[in-house]
Order: sequence, then C-alpha cells, then structure tokens
Amino acid sequence: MQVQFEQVAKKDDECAIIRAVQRTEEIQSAIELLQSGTDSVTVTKDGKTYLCKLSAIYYIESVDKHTYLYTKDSCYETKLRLYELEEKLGIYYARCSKAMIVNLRKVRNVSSELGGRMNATLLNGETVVISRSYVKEIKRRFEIS
Amino acid sequence: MKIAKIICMQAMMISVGILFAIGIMGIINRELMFAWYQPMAILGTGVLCALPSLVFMGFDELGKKKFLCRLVLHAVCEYFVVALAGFWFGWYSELSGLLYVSASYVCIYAFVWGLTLWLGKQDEKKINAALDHIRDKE
Repeated sequence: MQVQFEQVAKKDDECAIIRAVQRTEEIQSAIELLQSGTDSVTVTKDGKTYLCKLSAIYYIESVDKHTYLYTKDSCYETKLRLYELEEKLGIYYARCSKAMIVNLRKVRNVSSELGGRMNATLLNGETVVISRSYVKEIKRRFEIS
Repeated sequence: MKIAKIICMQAMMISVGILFAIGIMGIINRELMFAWYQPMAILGTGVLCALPSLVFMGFDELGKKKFLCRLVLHAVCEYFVVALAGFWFGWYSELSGLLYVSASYVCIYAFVWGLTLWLGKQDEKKINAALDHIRDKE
C-alpha cells in the first residue's frame, strides 16, 4: 500500500484517509491506533506487568486514588490517573461519572432513568451509570441535539 | 453561583406554570382579573417553589431509593408552598379553591416529570442509534 504524508500547519487540520478495497484487521488496527493516539497502556495484575490494548478496555474506574482498568473478564491496575488516561484515549472513550471512563464501543445499550441519569449495559453484561452531566457530554459527542 | 442559577431558572419555569394554570382557570370561568400585586405574588411563589429543588443537589451520586425519597420530599414541600402561597395571596378562599389549586399542582407536577421522562427516552433512542454505528463486534 502506498503511504503519503502531507504536512499541515494546524492540529485541527490533521486528518488520515485510508483508501482500501476492504477493511482488513491490519487496517482496523491502524484506524484504532490513529484514533487512540497510543495503542496500549502498561497495567499490573497480581504483581505481574502487562500491556493492555486500549481497544480491549471496557471501562476505567478510579477508587481511593487507584485506577483500575476493566476488560471483558479481567481487572488491572495502572499507575496512570484518570485524567492522564483521558488524554491517551481516543474519541470513543467518554467520562460517565467523576470517577469513571467508559469505552463507548463496548456499550450494548443505554436506558434512561428518572432524574436524567442513564444506565449503560456493556457487551460483557456489566452495567455502569452515566451521570446526568455526562449524558449531555455524550450527546454532544454524538452531535445529538 | 450554580445554585443561584438553578433557583432563578426554576423560579421562572414555575412562574410560567402558575400563569398557565391561571390562564386555564380564566378560560374555564370566562373571566380573568388580576389584582395589582398578583404578578409579584406569582413570581414570589415561583422563587419559594424553586427552593425545594435544592433537595436534588448532588443527586447524580444517589441511589434509586434515595432519589425517590427526595422526590417525595420535594413533591410534599412544593405542595405546602403552593397551598400556603395560594392562601396568603388569596387565590382561594374556600375548600373548592384549595381543591382546584391541589388538582392544578398534581397535574403540573406530573406533567413536568412525565415530560422529563419522555425527553430522557428520546435521548436514549438517539444515543442507542449512534452506538449502533460504533459498537465493537464481540
């Protein structure tokens, strides 16, 4: 595949266009890498260190100054704070409360509750609460009026 | 500042709601007369009715039961404010008047929460439709 690079003056003008016959796994990985900025994050579990792919994260939670990453069926700890991770993560990750970030690509559906909150059911069956103020942010993200 | 903004917004909305109820009453009775102090009384009632809204401050972190408890508390406080303001400002003098004010209150309160629920459901549909386009296949 031919790769072209064109320098632009502003960050806002940065854009990547991939022209391909098919959306192969390699292309999907490249898309995720471009959207996420970085591909993985260093995490620990039972004293062992791993690299966790950002696309595998379901949600991230901060509890008592500790940050935990939840994947489909595992939980890891990272030294990064929630706001540091927020900078690393791509457009598909959104705050759902003060102490939680959810991967919108892993949300099966949302259901509204009295008072403007929403419950998000994830692909692994877990449910996380989206606070009212962050529902507005998610709506803005999806350009929903 | 945020609290003051919430109170002002609520007061304006409630005042409009009261004016709407008075308008309906005027249509039913085919007569609508205002004493000079009534607009101020309506606005004052709006501000007093807005104060119980403070029970919902920080409700994002509340569980379902606690939220429902606060909702009941809010509804009761609002009703007392409306009934008391109605008595003070002479919106009713007999039991039938109090019943009308009570019925109006229940209708408006239910309408507001019904509208909130409906708007929430609309947002839910729109967000779910948007999620369908980005969801991972697992």
